[in-house]
Amino acid sequence: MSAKLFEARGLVKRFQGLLAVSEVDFAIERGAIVGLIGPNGAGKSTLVNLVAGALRLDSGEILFDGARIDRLPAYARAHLGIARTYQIAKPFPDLSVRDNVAIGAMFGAEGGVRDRAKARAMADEWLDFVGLAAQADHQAARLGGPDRKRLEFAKALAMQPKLLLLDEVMAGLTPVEVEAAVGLIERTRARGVTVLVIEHVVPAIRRLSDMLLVLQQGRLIASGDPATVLNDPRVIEAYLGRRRA
Amino acid sequence: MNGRWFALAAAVALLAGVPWFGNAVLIQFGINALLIAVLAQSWNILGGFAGYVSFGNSVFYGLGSYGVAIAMAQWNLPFWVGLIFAATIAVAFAALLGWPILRLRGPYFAIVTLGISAAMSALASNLDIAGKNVGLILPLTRNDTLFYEASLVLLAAATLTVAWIARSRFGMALIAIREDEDAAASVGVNATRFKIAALAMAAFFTAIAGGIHAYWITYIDPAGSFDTTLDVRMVIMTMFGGPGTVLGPVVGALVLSAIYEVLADSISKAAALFFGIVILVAVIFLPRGLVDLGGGFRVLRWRYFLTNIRQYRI
Repeated sequence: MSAKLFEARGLVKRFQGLLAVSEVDFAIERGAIVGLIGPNGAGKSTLVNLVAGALRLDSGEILFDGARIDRLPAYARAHLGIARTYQIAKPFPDLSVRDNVAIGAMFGAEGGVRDRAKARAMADEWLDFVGLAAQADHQAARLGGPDRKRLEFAKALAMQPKLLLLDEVMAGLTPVEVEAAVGLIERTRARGVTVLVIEHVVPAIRRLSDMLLVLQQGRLIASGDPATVLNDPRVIEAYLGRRRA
Repeated sequence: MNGRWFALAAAVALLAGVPWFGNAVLIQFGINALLIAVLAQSWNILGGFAGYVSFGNSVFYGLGSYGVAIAMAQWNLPFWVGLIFAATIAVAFAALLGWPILRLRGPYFAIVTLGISAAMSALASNLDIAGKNVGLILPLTRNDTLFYEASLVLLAAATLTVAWIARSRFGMALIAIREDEDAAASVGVNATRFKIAALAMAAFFTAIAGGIHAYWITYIDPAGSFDTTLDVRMVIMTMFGGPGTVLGPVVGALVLSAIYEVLADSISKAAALFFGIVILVAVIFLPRGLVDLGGGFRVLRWRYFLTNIRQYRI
């Protein structure tokens, strides 16, 4: 088993001529937490969609567990063990919070568990894990913003993924909620899940990540250890703009 | 729970007993009502659970009618062989048709399904084996009790299948597709496969209903078999009774059939108008269908209707 769980080679995605992702290469080691940051419109969500299979590549290769997955549809990637959350949460609105998570458990990696009662029991454990146990019987559509993010998280975890893609789960959270999210991500890694965290909130991600990737205008402008990357003049410029000389 | 099972068993026994205490008119009304309930229940599988509104399911009814008619009138095969032949054709056609059109979403899917029955009707009008424009005459069997009980058994089978769906992983996949198809794919639901399976199940029951009807009325032609008014009726009946529920389509079909029959009998021409008003009122006050009234009204009383109006912003 190679140390690399995931590898992207030369990823390119265009939207009607606009280059959203351009020649992006990176690898993720098993058991790592990797942060992906970048200003608005840098192509972070597009990259997540390419990895999860919601969008097709224009060119490049994606390897997961040593096999090419870039031609597989989204559901097949989920079966292999890739789970994602959406930046704007996508619950199954009319269903209970518990059933939302149970659906994650009933499908997910290797097609999930077949038995609905078992899936619901698993769902309750994940709801407990993310701190949403009290709302298990609520209709998902009635959840507030932060709880919707917890639900996305629980749903993705119930899929029992090897790689979890978190698309801006901390955006719009209060500092206390951000702390809770950081704790959750650390505990998720402790369970053996590799995590790619896409974020706008830099301080939180700096503490969490083993490695940082910085995207700007679709290009990867820096990657490596968080302290080094965040001191890179190109990264500072991308976030703060060029200093006047 | 026991009380509900008892009520259900009593209702089935009552329905099964109609040929013994009802007159000929009631039995004939019963056959039509039970068969349209089968169509509504079948439509419910893809339409109610997966949220894919098809206006083309009458094509399976027509294929079922023609399958039985061709088997019996042209090849002199027994009725049950005809039913197997009819169901096979309809399921194969559903799988073939589903592959391209179930990739379309929402209104695009609904629009594409509109023309299917008309196209198949034109095909039947030009095929020698289907009797072209004239149609086919089936051997006569005068036994309305048999047709009535066969229709009831078919409705029970369709309803038991839907009851299984409502509790199964398959049903959860369809519901996930209805709620958010992108999110469903992300959690690992192979949406196309489940949607095709749902359409094929609907085709199976709808075709057998068409086959029973063809043998009962002993004469079929293209316009009567590929009848697009059936499409509207099965959708309205399911919506009225409660889409995505186990008993909703059955209750909706039987209640609306009865209302229509009473109205048509007493005020004839204005019946369609009153029928329209009934549906309009139902859509406004009972958006989740007649069967939702059971739970909702008990809890909320009259506020139930206000809540519905507020929640759906009508």
